[in-house]
Amino acid sequence: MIWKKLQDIDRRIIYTLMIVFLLYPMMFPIGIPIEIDATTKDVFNTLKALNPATDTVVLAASYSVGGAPDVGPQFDAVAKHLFELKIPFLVPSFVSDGPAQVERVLARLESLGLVYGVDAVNLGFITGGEAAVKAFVDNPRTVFIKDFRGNVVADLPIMQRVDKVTDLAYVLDFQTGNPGYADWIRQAPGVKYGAGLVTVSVPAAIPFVNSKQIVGMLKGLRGAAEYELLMERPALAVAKMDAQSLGHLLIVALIILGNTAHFVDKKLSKK
Amino acid sequence: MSISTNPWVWIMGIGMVSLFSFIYKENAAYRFFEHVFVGAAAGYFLQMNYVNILDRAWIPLVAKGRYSLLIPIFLGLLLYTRFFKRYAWLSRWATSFMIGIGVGISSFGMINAQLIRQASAAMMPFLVKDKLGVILWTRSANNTLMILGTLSVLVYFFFSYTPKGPVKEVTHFGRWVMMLTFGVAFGNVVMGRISLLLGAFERIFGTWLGLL
Amino acid sequence: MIQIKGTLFAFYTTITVAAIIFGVLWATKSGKIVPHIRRIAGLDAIEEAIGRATEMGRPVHYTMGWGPLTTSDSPQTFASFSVLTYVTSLVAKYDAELIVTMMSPQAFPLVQELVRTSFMAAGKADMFKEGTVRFLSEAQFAYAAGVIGIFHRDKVAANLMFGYFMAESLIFAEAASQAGAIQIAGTGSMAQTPFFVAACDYTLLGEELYASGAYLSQDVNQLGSIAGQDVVKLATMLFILCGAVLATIGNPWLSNLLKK
Repeated sequence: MIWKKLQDIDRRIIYTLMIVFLLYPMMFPIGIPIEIDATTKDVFNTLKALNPATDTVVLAASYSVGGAPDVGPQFDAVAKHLFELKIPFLVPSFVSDGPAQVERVLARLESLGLVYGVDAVNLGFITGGEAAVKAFVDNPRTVFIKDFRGNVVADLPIMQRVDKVTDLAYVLDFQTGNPGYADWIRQAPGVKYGAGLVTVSVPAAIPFVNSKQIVGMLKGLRGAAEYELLMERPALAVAKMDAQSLGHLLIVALIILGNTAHFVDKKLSKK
Repeated sequence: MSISTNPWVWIMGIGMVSLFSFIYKENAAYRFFEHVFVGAAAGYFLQMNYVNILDRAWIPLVAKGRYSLLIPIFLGLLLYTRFFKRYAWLSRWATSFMIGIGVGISSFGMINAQLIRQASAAMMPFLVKDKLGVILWTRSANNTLMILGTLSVLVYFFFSYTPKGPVKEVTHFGRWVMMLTFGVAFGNVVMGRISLLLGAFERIFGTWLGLL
Repeated sequence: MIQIKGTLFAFYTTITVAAIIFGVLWATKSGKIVPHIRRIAGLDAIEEAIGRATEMGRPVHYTMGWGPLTTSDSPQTFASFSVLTYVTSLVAKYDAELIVTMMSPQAFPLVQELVRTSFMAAGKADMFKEGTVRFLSEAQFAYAAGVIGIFHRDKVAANLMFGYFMAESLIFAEAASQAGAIQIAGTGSMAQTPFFVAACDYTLLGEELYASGAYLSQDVNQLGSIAGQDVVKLATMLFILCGAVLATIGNPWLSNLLKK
């Protein structure tokens, strides 16, 4: 009887357990160690090796509000790192929710001394998906006419550093779907391209990391936590990793429990 | 931290809890916020599209005299002919144009970046040796598994041939490879979903209730 | 004219792939070859799902997910159109109720037209109602919230999901499962296939979705195209195998050729 019940636990019990397992470590952090992945190091080292005097980076904000808890912390960490390294960055958005989210990050950095238009620019949203990516790759300087704050893009000091796509030292694209890494790989074959991915997209992107079409990858919230640790500035993402780990533990335990119950029940019913 | 006094945060919090209440059962609060969500999204996209048309078509046309934009504007307007039964067929021109552009832009890149570069990446040696000529068995096994996995999955997706005999075994292997990949993907997704849930908790228990 | 580095081989490949597909298509149309598509179990189960919905007196829900028309994922939408045509003809045959929900405003008028004409072709033009094809929202999760509301309010008995999906896929599969619906799905989106495999009764894996149009319609043009693609796949396999063998003996000729 018990084995039958264990195979069909009320989902409300599972949800309650999950809430407890996630909330407890958020309130009382445990400090579970985090190993840093090679793809995260690739992003970190690529940015660290750049020259602030000559190099400009693109942080493409293609992440939706729905996927922001997974990808947003990556953007926060990398933007902060670039600000500390004094490397200017352009932020085009290829999804409509992008610019408003970017604005919050830039406002925070401006309070720390970032000069808008010189160190960074929020270029705003351009519609068209892959076609928009192509338009940006063809004309990174002129495709956005006005930025999100209403400034004429061509007049901004940061834009004088960029004429064509090859002037960009690195493109790091934060994405939750379309347009994503496949669109960039197709449209910008000569560009050094890295991806900040929503966790769901990671397995499908691995072949492109192996073929070196993606140089450096941040994998969801975990990628953000790793990046914060590389910067030696553990923040929000690191704080959430304890909860993430306990949540996984609960799921693994439930899978083992359910399967054990299934096989034991099957064996008993045969007898 | 203490409980928020910002009314917008309260609306956000109540909305989130109401939508979460669906996991208990479908109810009136869920229904209300479902409709608010759908309506708000419609309003948001309407505004985005309006600004897009203004910034990317109307202003460059009127203020800068870029008359070439008349072509896409005309095609865009054709989409609305579907509201007039007699001229509805004209909307297909615009749709066909959009489809053609989309396929055209992506197809060459797809062959170059996703077929050739990926095929090239799969051309790995079965046996990997170090500088002294000693076989590296782990890497060799990895490569061999990768090549065989790629080929067997390709065989699985042959449609004009019903697999028989040994080929059927190859497709079975291909199916196993895919299922293992799906398992890995599923694990990643669980991880991703927990991240999203943590984001929601942060807003509810932190920003709204001030407990974190 | 300047040639972009590393695209010469791709250029010739594009021409060759097109030539192979057109060649096989021509041979199929002229009757020189008669392609036969292998069985795809998920598609065979559609009739059973609709039959079950009819017996229960509850609606069939159909979604094509994002329904992109202008991106590289648009072939999934076109394949979904073929499945929807088939589904509509079965719904007409069984006098069931069909609800199609849409997220793509571009595909919405096309789908309305497609369902209307499919009902007309089946001689049941009156089965097409204003609410048969419903545009819910362009925003991913607003659309998802709307769809799961429909699952529970309309007590959907069969949920058919064919096309390009993202994070909403599991939300749909879970909600429809709670509503007790039989589910059949197919997507070319690799990241979402695992959910469908886990939560649906039948799942079309990856490219099976693209073959569905040919499988269901047995249209000679589509059959020829699928057979042509199989030839391209075979050639790709041979390339990979030759490349791997050459790499094993330390000859990088083929992989260098691909980089030209």
